Amino acid sequence: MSAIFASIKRFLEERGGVVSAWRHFADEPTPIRRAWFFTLGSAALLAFVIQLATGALLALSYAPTPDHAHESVKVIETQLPAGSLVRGLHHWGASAMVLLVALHLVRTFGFGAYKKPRELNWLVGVVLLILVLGFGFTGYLLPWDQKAYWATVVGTKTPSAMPVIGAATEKMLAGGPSVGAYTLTRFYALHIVLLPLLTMLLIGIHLLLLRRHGHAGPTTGPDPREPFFPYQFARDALVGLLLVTALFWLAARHPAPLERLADPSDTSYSPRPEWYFLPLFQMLKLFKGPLEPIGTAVLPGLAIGLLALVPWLDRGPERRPGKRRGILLAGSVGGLAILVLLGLGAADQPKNAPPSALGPNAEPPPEPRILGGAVAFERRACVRCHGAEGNGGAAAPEGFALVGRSDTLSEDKLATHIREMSPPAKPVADVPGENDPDKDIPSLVVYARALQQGPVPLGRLSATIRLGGAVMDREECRTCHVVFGEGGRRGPELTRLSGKRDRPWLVGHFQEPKKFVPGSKMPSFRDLPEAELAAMSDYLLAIP
Amino acid sequence: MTGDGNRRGSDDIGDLRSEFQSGVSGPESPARRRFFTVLALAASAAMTGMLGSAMGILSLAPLRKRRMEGAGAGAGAGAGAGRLELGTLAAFAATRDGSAGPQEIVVTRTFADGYMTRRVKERVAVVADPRASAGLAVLSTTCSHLGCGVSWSAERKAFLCPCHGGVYAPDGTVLGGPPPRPLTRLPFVVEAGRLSLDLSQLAALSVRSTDACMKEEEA
Repeated sequence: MSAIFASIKRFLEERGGVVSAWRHFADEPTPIRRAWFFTLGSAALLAFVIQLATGALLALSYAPTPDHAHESVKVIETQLPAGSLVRGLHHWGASAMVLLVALHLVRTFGFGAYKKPRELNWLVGVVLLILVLGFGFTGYLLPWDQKAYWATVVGTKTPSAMPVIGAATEKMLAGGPSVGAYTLTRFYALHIVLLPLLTMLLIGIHLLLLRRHGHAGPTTGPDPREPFFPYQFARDALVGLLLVTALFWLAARHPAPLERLADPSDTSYSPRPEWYFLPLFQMLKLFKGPLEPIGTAVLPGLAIGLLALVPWLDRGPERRPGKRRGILLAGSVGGLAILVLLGLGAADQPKNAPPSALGPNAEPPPEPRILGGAVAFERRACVRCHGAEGNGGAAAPEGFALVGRSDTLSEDKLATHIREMSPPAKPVADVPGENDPDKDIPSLVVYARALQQGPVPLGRLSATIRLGGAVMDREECRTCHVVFGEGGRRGPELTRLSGKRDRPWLVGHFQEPKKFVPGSKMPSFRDLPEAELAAMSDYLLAIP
Repeated sequence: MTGDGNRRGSDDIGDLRSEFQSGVSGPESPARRRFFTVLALAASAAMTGMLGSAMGILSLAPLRKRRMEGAGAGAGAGAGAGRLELGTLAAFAATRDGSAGPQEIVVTRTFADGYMTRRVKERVAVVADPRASAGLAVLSTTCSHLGCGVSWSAERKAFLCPCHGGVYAPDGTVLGGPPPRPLTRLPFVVEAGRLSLDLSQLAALSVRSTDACMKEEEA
């Protein structure tokens, strides 16, 4: 066996120089003192490799179009095995990468490791920091949820305040006059092709330069060295294991969020950037009106410029912190300013998390009777006196608003009021024998009661969910099924179907229940239009 | 890692301290080197294993995915639920009595395909089948060899595959070329004088792992 290995080793060495290349890599003299500080760079590199691997895997199932991006991410989260875990690793890996690159930079700054002959490597590092932030900016548009859309609208509008080049910059970022399909494909291509290639190239240069000049080592005292492998490699691997474990814990415990589908008409949404953009976001608030370019361009440009110039601002061979008070003070002031802005931004976060499109946190649709009642509300033209969604409205007489109204008629009186005041404009259903025009009154009573508790915002729901709930109300599914805790017990409770069933199954089952569940006693609903069956399926799948 | 290894580790830290004090790297201790090598490999293996298993599970997802041939929306007016109407029986009379050859029909099917709902056109062939009660059978036009689309040749009185020369008889049996099996017979129903593909049966045929469908097939 060992003879075979020896001959393979000899072959690889003779033909490719593989063994001596490994020796060259492994025997690099590495500092023993302060060794744990020097694991930050390799941890950042590991985070990048994790992003490459998880990102490539996510790209296999992701569709970069406004019509499908959100749904494809939802499929990754809810249907693909380990999809949520891998997306969680990618989400938290992004934050880890920014954090590790920043800590690596602070370490290099503190140790004065940017000094001659390592100035060029410092510059490469600064560019890498900008690229990492570029990954973050382009990455969070991709799920095409509310946060993605609105944060990108703000992000691409930010440079527009700059004089002369502002408008052109905005268009070049967005790929057109506004955030849309071309922004998504643009950001996707940047995120998965251009930025990774540039980053890999620069990391390669970063490592080559590190090897060319050797490790800078600790600032003072003796600097004993030992080979990179296995000593520093083992420390790097331990820190790496810690990083991977932390990412797994975060991904499992706090899965990557997915908010609702991007809604350009939603004016109430307040976009919040990721934590690493909060300092920039907070600074924009400090400069208003004509001063805005100071916050958007001048100060960030100045900060990056000063950072890049550090090796020339602090010249001379002295690396001991005690002898570099000036530059360390300047750096601390800059770092503190960023931390203060970060803290202010974090304190300014809204208390309530925006509604999620995933899992048990997804906002459940209103119960069928409310949606059926809302249809009856329109059919009976209740709007004339009570306003749209019972909010009174401009034309309604005072005191006719239902929302928040405290006087409660008994249910009988309410039903009588509906029957007398607003006969239906058209029959409830076209089904023969179901021509009772007042069949919808019980649901309308439930809807009116709900309005009295407070606004019932139905506009946020998709059209199919509204239709599906109304159809379920009309067909009286609650006679046999428990829906939202109420109803008959003849059939199974209608809850948590989204993991078990899909739309084709449900539609087929409505049409021919016995075919899908042998022995089923459920009547067939094959007379209903396909669109209503599909809408009912969507409604059922939305029930948590 | 054994207790033995740990003891070596603490000894090594002692060595390390003396190195700091002297300020020079002493000669390498083989025990210390072995300890760090084991540590390096174990930690690397652990993190590679964690990442590899998560990503392995996700990358193998296609093996688990069932074909989603769900109940599609009917193409034409009058198509019943879960049915895709192909035409009236009268329209196929000539095919049934043999005075005309098979008829190729293009149907549009809507189904859930991963993250989207897709409308696709599919071509099926209605052929004579004296053994069936309707006197007809519906064949898939997908060649059983490598999946190209076959089409009816009135001259040669056969279904021809353009890719590798497969030839099928009007009833779908193989006459020549590489196809290993006859053309697939699709489930259909005749209701009120109309011939329709039975999409729920079609789903049952392709989604073999769905238990409810399996029972349906056995029945």
